[in-house]
Amino acid sequence: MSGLLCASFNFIDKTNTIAPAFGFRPMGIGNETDESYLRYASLPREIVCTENLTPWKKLLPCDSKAGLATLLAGGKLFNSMYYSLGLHFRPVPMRPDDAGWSWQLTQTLTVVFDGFVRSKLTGTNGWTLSSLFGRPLDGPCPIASRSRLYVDITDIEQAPGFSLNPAGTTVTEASGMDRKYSYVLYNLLQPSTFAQVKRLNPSVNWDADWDMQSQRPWLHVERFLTGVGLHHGGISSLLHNRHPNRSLTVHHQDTLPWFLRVYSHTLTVTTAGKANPPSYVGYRPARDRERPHQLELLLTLPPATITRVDIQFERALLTWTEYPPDANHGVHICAAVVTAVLPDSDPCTGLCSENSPVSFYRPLVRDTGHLSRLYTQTLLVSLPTPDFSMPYNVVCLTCTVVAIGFGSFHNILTRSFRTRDPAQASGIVRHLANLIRRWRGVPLL
Amino acid sequence: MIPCIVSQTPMIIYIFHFLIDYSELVFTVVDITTTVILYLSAKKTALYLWEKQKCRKWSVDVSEILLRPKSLHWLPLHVAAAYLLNPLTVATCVARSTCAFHNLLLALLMLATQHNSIMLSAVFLALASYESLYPVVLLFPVILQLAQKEVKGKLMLQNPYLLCFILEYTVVFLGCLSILLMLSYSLLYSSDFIPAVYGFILSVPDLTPNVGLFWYFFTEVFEHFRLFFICIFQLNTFIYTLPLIIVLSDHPQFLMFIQIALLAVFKSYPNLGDVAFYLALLPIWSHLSRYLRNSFLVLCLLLSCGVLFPILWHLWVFSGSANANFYYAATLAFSTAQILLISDYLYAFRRREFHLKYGTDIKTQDGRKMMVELK
Repeated sequence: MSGLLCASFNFIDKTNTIAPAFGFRPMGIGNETDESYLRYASLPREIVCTENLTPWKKLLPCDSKAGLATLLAGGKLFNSMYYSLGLHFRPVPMRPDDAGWSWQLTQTLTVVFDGFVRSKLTGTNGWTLSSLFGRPLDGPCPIASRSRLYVDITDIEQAPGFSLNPAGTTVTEASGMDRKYSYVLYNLLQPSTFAQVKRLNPSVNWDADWDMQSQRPWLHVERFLTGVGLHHGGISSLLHNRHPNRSLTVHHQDTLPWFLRVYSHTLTVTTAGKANPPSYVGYRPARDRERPHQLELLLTLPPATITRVDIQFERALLTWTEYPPDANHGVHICAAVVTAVLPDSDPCTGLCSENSPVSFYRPLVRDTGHLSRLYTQTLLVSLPTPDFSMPYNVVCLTCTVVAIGFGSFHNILTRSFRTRDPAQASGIVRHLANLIRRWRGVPLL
Repeated sequence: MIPCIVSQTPMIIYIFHFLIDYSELVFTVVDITTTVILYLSAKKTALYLWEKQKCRKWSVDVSEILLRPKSLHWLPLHVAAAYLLNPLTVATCVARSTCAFHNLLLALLMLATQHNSIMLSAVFLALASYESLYPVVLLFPVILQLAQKEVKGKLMLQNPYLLCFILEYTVVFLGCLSILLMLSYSLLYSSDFIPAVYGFILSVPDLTPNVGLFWYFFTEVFEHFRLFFICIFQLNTFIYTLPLIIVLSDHPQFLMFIQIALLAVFKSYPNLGDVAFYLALLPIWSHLSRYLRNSFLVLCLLLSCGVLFPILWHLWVFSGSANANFYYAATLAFSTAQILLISDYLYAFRRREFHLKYGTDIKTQDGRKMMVELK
């Protein structure tokens, strides 16, 4: 994997791997992997870049030569607010009636462009495919069996002066009780899509005075560090439940490295100033240089509240070779994972990994609640650092002090007191001794 | 070796399971109990020193360095005050360090030894060794002290009674220790605690800054020399025992004091509570002050370190305007001061013994004053 994707997965070892009890399950229908083999690891310092994107694109059937993948040019993608590459690998049945199994590889890519900032900067109210990705779509990948472009117009539909060109098929999905989703679908494999235009470049426009307001997702998580100095500290997570009348049960999973000495007795969960004890606390303490802390909580978030999870830690001093390069920059801490089954009215658009062997994408999939997994921010913890330029000096100085101890005890323990006639002392020594004695005011030798 | 956040023995953890809610009270009570026990122990020690002085023969002109009943009368109170009013003890109590328990066990060991109770001293020695491993070296001073009363004849290795007593006492001690280890095993149904507690002490995996010599050294030492230096440093802690026994075999009280003080300097995770404990024993040996050479220097060093520790720690960890070297320098100075203090007391003790034997005013045949020197 590491070689295939140019990623440093080789840094995943026992010090950052946990065995989650609840948050994750072996995926795929009929995956009978023993759950005791389930492991979870993440590398917080890893940054996705073109080195990872290029090999990822090569796994696609047409590489980036045709189809949707032609849009994925590094320059535009990596200037975005957020991007994420994914590979999901799971067993699926070959055919519905067949007992045979095969493996399914799903590649996902998520990019977030800030449309608001972009429209303010360019003075236009709207976007086109080519303004986001740098080029329009030429056509489908010839060997693809499905190639579709969805534009979510759920909120923007009501904007004054809204227009979408060229027009596509509108798909409406009634999800939950109080919310409807609208999408415009361009099926790239249908010849009619490219009948009028040679290149597909959907553009969305709205009037300048429209104040874009989209409904925010029901569940939102943020995480930050607390405390002053390099000794004590704390990690706080704020879990927002924005649903007006439904409480959410969420699973909060945290992996903390061993050099943060987490004190489990300091774990507090408060909602609106009152204690909200978790219904399940799974804590596995770290072992130095062997395994991380693993903390799993099952929390109930009352409707329209913010729940705060706090835990305190102390920082350990590492040996000078254990620090990452640029030690004063600090150490990145893995994101916590919050897993919840959200009601369907959740206004989120995104890729949801479910146990469905068919589809990953939100539309046309479900009519019950869906599993949602939120990753918090990674944290940057500064650690106390030794002086990296001093190993020789420290070895010398400490050994000197030990030698002073050893020397003076050796001196006193191996010799005994004798008397000596001061007159026999050699000239210089007596002279010096007399100087000191004169200064002290005691009789001369 | 499985170092974790907690590297206390199972018994301490088990006891704190019940006491954790009253920890402030518990630590205060433990400190006061230690003080009372030190008072009783010092009283007995004073009596012992007085008896010993009475039944030995001295040189002619030694009256000025002999113990005086008046100073011995106040000695227990001085010891108790030195322990209870020491800011280091108060700081340890406020920090709720389990060092308070180790000090209590050491004080109990001293009291039991003073009262020549073989069984109790073995129990407390086993408890202290079980808690922090290093006190195992106190086995020798305790045996020497007890043997003075228990063993007939001279305390020579050729004496079969002495050998018999050493064997007997060691068996009792090891018995107590194995009972404690067995109890711990039965609490956990696993022997994981042995590497977690004693491996933690011996292999020094935790480099959290303390007042000792180990933490910064093993932070900075080159990886391939680590094992070598761990062996050297641990050996250094234990190596003084044999020569001290040979030199101080007639003075087990002083041997015990020097051993406790040396452990406080050279052990792998020393703390201020250990220092407070042996500083409290200094008044017992106040009659040595006449021969101390570096007392002013040591006093200045200790005081300045006491002031500098919190300041440099704050500068390094909280305000970020200093680095680890500043605090490290203070710990070096602190260790040096302690080494000077202990070696000074050892020097003074041997010098006084010399003068007790040969007189304070040794003159040549033609009446000139003779110099005394270590040779």
